[in-house]
Amino acid sequence: MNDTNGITLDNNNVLAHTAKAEKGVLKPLLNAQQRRHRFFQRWWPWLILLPVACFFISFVIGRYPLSLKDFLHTFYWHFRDSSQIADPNMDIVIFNVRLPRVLVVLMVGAGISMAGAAYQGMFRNPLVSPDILGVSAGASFGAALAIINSSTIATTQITALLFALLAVILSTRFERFISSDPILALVLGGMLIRGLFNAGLSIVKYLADPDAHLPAITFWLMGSFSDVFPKHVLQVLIPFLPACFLLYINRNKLNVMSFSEEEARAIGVKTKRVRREVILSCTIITASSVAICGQIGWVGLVIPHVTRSLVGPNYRTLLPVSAILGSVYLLVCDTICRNAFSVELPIGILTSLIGIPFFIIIFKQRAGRV
Amino acid sequence: MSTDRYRILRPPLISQVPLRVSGLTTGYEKGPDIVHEVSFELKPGRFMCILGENGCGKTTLLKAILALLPARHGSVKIGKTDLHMLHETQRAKYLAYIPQAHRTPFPFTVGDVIRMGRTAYHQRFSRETAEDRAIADACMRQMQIEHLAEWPYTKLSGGQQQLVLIARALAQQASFLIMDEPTSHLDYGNQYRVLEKVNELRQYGIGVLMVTHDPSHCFYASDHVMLMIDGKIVATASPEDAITSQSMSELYHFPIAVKRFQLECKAHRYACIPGTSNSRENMERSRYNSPISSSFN
Repeated sequence: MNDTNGITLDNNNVLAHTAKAEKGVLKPLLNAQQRRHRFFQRWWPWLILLPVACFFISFVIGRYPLSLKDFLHTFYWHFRDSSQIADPNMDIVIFNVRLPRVLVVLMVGAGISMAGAAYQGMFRNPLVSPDILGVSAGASFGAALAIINSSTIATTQITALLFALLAVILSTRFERFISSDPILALVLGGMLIRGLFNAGLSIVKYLADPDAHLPAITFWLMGSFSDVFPKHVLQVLIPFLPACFLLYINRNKLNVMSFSEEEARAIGVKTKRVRREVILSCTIITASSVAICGQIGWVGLVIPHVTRSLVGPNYRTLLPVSAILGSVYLLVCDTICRNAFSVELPIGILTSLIGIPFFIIIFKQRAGRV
Repeated sequence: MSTDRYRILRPPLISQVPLRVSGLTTGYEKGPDIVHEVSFELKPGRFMCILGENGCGKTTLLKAILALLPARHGSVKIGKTDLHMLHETQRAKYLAYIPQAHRTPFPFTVGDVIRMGRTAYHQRFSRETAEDRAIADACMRQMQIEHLAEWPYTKLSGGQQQLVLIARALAQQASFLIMDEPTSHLDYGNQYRVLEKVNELRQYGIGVLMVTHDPSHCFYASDHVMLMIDGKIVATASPEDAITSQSMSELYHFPIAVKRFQLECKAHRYACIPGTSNSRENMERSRYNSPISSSFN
């Protein structure tokens, strides 16, 4: 009677099976990648020595020969008593040319890499770069517009900045139309606005004076730090500091945002607000750097990837280490640009030339592991 | 069960206050109503399942309860607190959401994923505290996945990923867990292992609301079952009462028999058997005499 259907459940047998399954097949052995992540998560602050070293190396290399001793001598006496400086030319080279340039390069590299890392998490896509919302396209159009009106360098930079901001504002307007999937709306909006401004750029190029303005536009688009003056250090630093700070305080929320929109909201992240803050700070960073030095491709895409393979995806370490590695990378590229050939090479070319093979190597490594 | 673990896992907002959904109607953007006038009450420590066919509005209902979708009418309340009036950070302390095991583009470690559950308790400028880490560790122990703490989430099996997501929801210290088909994509053993782990949580007074496609899950774990047809709740009862041959056949538009089995230890279980008594025979017959060949006879 108690087993009408011919079913017996051997409880002991079942329990044995359960215990076996719960012991787990996956052994907690860390592989090389995980050990690397742990190592860098612990020791990453020491990486700050890298940009410091690169700073000095980049300083002594250049058209105007400068030894480390001369540099330190001039640097010291500049602040103490400038009459003690042995060679006044050296003073000019250091404080009006090389120091601002190196500082701006370091900041731009750090900023663009941080922005790229933040966007990749927010868009949940590792192939996103900081110009996804059309910052570069807007800036290029604005700069080209200024150049055909024969503006000064300062006006060109301001116009580029304004159009970069305009492009992002227009891209984010699309969020309203597809409220169910804001990320899709942003990607779509960015694509449309990029297309629009690229078309505008083509029109401006087509109408430009081929002798005077067209070469200037082309050179601007390739990007260069040769027009950096001492005043630019503050012009970059003032918008960068609050923007980077805003990104950094959102680091934990960016972690959660890498999961789906619904999960992030259910975990307690005000996704709309975080998105607004991230877009705001990334736009400030990218727009103010693109306005000064033109388009610099691949840094914002490659550096977060390199960093992620070193320290893992947690934004707590990803953001600062991205900044460190990005600044080093851009400084190395810029130093090569300045010195490799008799004419200065546009930096946009070099960042792509070095960045793309680097990217392929990382991708290959990853593919082998997974 | 040590008292220490119990203290950490016990949600701070826990009380005997039930989750009360009354007259909830919702839909997407400007579209029609998907969920009509849904009302029910879920007490702490109870396990409720929602059954219904694809597209009947189960997931939409969960989204509306979690306030991911705005309510057109009705309310979702815990005590006197209307959850739709709170912002995300406050709501996360009442309700936790467990999605299906999924893939993320970035290989976060299991420990990182579980600690993310503490986000709602962070102030704007604050860092992770020792308490956050202790709670995350306790949740990991509860799910028995502490040996995976350093492992990347993306390399786990589906069952382990699901346990990680449950641990993350536990770290949220919410009073109610809302689960959307947590056992789909899992193999047979893992489905029930996950259910058993969820069932263990009820001793801490955590209420569970789960959408599932398998009536056996309801028999295995739940106290109550809600049957949903076209956005309306047609029945709320204990699994034994709600899941019958008739109700299942109507719900899924397919003949399903529900049988009671007596086990040797005086316990009994229910099982669902799809198909009519001769449907298997029909299938065999059609396999050997396909309509095309029979037309030639």
